[in-house]
Amino acid sequence: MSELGQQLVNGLMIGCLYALIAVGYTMVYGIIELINFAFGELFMFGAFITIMMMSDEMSLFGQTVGMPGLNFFIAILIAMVVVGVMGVVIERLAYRPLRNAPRLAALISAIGVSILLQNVAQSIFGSQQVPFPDIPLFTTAEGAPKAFEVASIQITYFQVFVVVVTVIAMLLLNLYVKRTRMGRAMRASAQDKSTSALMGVNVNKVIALTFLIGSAMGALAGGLYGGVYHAAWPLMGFNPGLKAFIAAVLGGIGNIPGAFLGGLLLGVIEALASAYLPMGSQYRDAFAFVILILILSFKPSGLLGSTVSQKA
Amino acid sequence: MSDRPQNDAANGSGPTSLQTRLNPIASALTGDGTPRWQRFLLLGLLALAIVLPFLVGSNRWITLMTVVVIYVVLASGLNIVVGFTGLLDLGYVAFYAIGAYYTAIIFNQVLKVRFGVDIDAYWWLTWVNFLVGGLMAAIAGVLIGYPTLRVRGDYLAIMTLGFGEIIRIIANNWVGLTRGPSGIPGVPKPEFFPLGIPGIPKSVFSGFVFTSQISLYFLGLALALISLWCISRIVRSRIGRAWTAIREDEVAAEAMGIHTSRYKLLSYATGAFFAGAMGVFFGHYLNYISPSSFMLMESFLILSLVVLGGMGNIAGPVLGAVIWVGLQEWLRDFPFVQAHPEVRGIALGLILVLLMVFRPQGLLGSVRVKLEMHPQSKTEADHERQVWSDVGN
Repeated sequence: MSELGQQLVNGLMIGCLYALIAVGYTMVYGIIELINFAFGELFMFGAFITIMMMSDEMSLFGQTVGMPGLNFFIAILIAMVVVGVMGVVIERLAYRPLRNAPRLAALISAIGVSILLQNVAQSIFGSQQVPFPDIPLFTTAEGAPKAFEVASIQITYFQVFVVVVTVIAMLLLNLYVKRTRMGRAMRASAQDKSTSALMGVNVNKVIALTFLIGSAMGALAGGLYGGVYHAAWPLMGFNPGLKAFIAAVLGGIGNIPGAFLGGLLLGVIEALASAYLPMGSQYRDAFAFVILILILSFKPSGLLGSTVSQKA
Repeated sequence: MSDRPQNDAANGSGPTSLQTRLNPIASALTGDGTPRWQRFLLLGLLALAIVLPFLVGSNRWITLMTVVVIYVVLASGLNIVVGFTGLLDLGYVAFYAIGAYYTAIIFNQVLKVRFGVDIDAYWWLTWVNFLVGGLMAAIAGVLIGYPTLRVRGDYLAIMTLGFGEIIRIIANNWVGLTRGPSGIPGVPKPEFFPLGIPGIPKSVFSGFVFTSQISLYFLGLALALISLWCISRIVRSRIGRAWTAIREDEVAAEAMGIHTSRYKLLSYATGAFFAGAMGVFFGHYLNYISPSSFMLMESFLILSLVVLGGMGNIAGPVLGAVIWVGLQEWLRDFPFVQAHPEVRGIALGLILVLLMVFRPQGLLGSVRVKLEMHPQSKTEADHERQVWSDVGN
């Protein structure tokens, strides 16, 4: 029983991180119908920038450079801002010129951005894993993670922190989209861009904001992921990025609570499947795609999504 | 006879012109609609491909040219899905892996290990495997394409991306079948004229084994020519026109009576077939198969070749492959590139983004693809002013 509980806790935590990235995918897809592959890479940059801000010095382009050595919480906020701006710049340069073009053009551009960012990161930070500095609040004096036990299930403080942060971020985001003027503009743009523009919504601004929020959420997830696995590496964004997209599809694309639900479900299913299925841990990364195939076959609109129309 | 640059390969069903009769080889390769200079470019490349191995003779060049030939076929196959049907396939290398693993498993794991057969006695299976490997890849293409039919085409990108990774994960972990990361060595070399030629004593030919680099290269070149010939015919047929119609407007295509699901599946399958067949060649060419040959980056590379040369254009992927492999070989001698292998990835990413934004039709673009990709060529100022047409769907 305690192993099951342990897997549930781990799955829930990873699921939270998937959910945070999925927000970006789901919001962007909801408005401009583009799978922005680069969110996985922005997630990776989030982890690296968090490490950069926390370290005293770091090797960039093979040269050791002095760094501010900030507190984890400030570092991750800076990472969110920087990566958010990166997202806006990417949208402006690589996607906006293609808004009238067929989706294929934007998709190819997106995959290009993703390859580019991955290799730029390799160039800046090296292809090896960069260790994540210890966070004093969550680490004992001996360097082990602080943890407590409930019914013989080990739960670290950091895991609790991840879940709490995710829930707060999701609630705030949902409130923002539901209650504010900009949020209303977002929902309007998702329904019909041309009509919203006629009603005075600055759709370009809305799209830029969507990228800002999505990228910042991705960076938050990246910083937390780095903290969980104590490292960052240039290819770290690939699998979480893909899975986050699948989580968004699972929950219903374009739907923020759906992204949260989809992320949690995906994390838990993955943890349980890799623990209990034969050879599960080797095939861990394959389960998400099985889920994608199932959801596309039986409920393409996702768990919480409304019907998806095949808009041309 | 005037040139007809407006037509692209998918559109070329007009009357045969004089120039077409004058260069039957080029027209067989590319179809009527390809502009004349592109046909001569292809002919020139073909002549070079035949003559160059005899002129240079060094193994490094021949290996390089074999690599080009393999990428030509892969890029041309992917061009069917991406260029002609307008759907993004990001796991194309998986089909290539299926072909390669299929032939390696049949020869080594099944015939040799399981049944203890002397595989050299069954070398003729190679020729069968080109077809069967291709068909297996085609079936896989249909299987992963099928779930995406009910949703919009861009889910195919994610499905294929995931499928590519799953194939690699399986190749890495199903040790009993694929020997895992250590790979399968000892795939036999193919032999020539399996059944002999009637009237000529069998002993004259049947001993010809493709062992030298140069003979393998010409086998690859022959496969590439056959593939290009097939692809250029398919895309000019009724099927090809249906694909182009789907690319241009899926809803309109459906309204015109095109069974879009069926044609999309056919497109995935056809594209996968060529990758599978070339995978079989790759297995026999290297004699060794391991998961590291089928990384995700390969899929992206093949996509970049198509985009670079020109989507929806028969000559495009050929030129893309020649340029990219040539460029890589040229850059190899620079110490900076040696120290920073990721420059290659940066270049690939930049190629994709810059071409999409500034020249979506690629180097050899057809006018039709260009018009489709950038429907309204407006200045930046117009873009800003006309916000609502800018965001219109």
